[in-house]
Amino acid sequence: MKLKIKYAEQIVGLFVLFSVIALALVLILMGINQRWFEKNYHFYSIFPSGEGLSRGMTVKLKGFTIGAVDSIRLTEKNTVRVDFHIYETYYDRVKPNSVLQLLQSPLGLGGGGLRFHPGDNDEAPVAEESFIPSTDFPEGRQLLEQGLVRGEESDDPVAAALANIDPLMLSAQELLESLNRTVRTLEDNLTGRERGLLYDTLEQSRASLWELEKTLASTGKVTENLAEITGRLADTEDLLRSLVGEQGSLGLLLYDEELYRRIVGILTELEQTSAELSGFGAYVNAQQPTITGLLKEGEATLIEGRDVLSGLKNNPLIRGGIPPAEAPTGTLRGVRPEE
Amino acid sequence: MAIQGAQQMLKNIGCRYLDLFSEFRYAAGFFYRSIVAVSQYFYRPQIGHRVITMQLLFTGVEALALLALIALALGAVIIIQGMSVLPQFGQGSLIYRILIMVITRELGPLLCAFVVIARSATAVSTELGHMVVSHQIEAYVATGVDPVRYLAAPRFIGITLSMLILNVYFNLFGLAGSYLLTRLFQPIHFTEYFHNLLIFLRTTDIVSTLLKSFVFGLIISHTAVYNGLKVQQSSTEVPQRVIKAVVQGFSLCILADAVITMIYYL
Repeated sequence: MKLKIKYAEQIVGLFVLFSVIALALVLILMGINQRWFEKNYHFYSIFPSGEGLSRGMTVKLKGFTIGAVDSIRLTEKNTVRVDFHIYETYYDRVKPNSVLQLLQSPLGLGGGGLRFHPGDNDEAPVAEESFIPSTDFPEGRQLLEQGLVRGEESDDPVAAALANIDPLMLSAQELLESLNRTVRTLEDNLTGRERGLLYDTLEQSRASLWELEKTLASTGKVTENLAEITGRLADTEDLLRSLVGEQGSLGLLLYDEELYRRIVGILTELEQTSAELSGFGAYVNAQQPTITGLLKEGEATLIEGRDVLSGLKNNPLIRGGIPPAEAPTGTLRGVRPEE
Repeated sequence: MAIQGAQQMLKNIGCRYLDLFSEFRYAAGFFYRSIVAVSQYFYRPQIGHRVITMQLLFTGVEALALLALIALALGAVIIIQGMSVLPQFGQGSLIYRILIMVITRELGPLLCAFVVIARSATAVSTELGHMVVSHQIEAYVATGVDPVRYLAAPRFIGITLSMLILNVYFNLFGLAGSYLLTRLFQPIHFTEYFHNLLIFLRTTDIVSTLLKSFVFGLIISHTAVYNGLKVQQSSTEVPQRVIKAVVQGFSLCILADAVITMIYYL
């Protein structure tokens, strides 16, 4: 009889026994490694979306697995409730102000997880079944910003780079939105759809122009009167007669003593006024450089303002770019120009 | 004439489907009788104790070397390929998930089934077919021995048990043995490897793989015994029935695998 047949029962016995022992050993080792016989502390968190979350997902602290996700469900408020547990060994790290952060692989290959940031204090651990805020909600972000949490940098360079890009993109988006609002306001003011400061200024300018037009119309009449007077002055004989005659203006001036005194008094006052005016003129001349500087600054400010408005109008993100700046013409002219 | 031809054609189709249905009903009935015989076996194990032992020896022990080789090679290939590619994406830990998914959940039970079908199902069908041809079955019946209880039940138990045990060995060789093989080419830390493997291995994976092995064992033993006993009188029927046993075994195992996998992910 062949040896195998002769000892068939022993061979089969070993074959079965070894497999049963191996299976039992694997189950025991699994139990030890997966902490089947240890107490877990349960907590929950709220996330805006279940994207990237899965049952059994690990909760990590500084690269160490300290817990796992038990269940994920959609709440009545359309948020996602994540129930998770922390191993007994790490329960003392669950301090008040702790937050939870969802990590997702930017390459979409899995490997994400929940990162636990413990609260930066020496208080006792929070009670079981407590709420641990997530960084996806303002509450969690506030804790991070206020420095109440022991933060941890991402160990994935791609994720870290993308995390840096996100705030930049957010700022750029905010800037564009702000520019867009400004341009829209300008457009509304210019087209009259909205009444703002610019619209009021434009309205005032329009009213001033209308007044100027009216004034110019009046000036035309004055010019006509001047022309008439000039025509009359051309007839000198009548003019001299009326001046030199006894009842003429010059006759009255030559023969009336009272009038003469009055004229002398007026001339004296005029002399004094002239002296005062001369002093004022000297003062103004002394202040001229200051006034000139102010005017120059004013002009530069106006040019910059015009450039900003052109920039806004022709913003490369909105219209067609900033036109090249024109060389400003000087406001200062010499006292003796073009001599 | 044409109407008669059409009638004949319809009759042939009807007969064919009735035969198929009848055969399916007969196979289901035979399966039921086999299960009853298996359950009765545990009350009176002395009936086919030796047959079960020999079945375990031929189906289990003798197939172990081939399956160990396949498992070692498969596990080593997955580890080497995974270790060279996955860490480049920062996903080195996925290797454990892939190993468990491929070896434990999917290919382990299926490859065991293929090997058992190729080695043992053919042998059982041939043996039983020749027993029918040589009137041994009739002799059992004539002497009052139930061939299903005496021949089919021990083979059912033997093949199903062998499938379960072979699957455990396949997993051991695929997950643990391949580690030793891989160390020849690539250094992996022993503690880290087994710790991660045991972390990622879930009880559902073990239940799934054992359930598949059990179902495949039932399918293989049933198709083998049923087709063996379906031989009527000619020895030329034996290879035909063996081929049917193999084809049915493969097809039903793949179908059952798909169904169990779908249930697992429900």
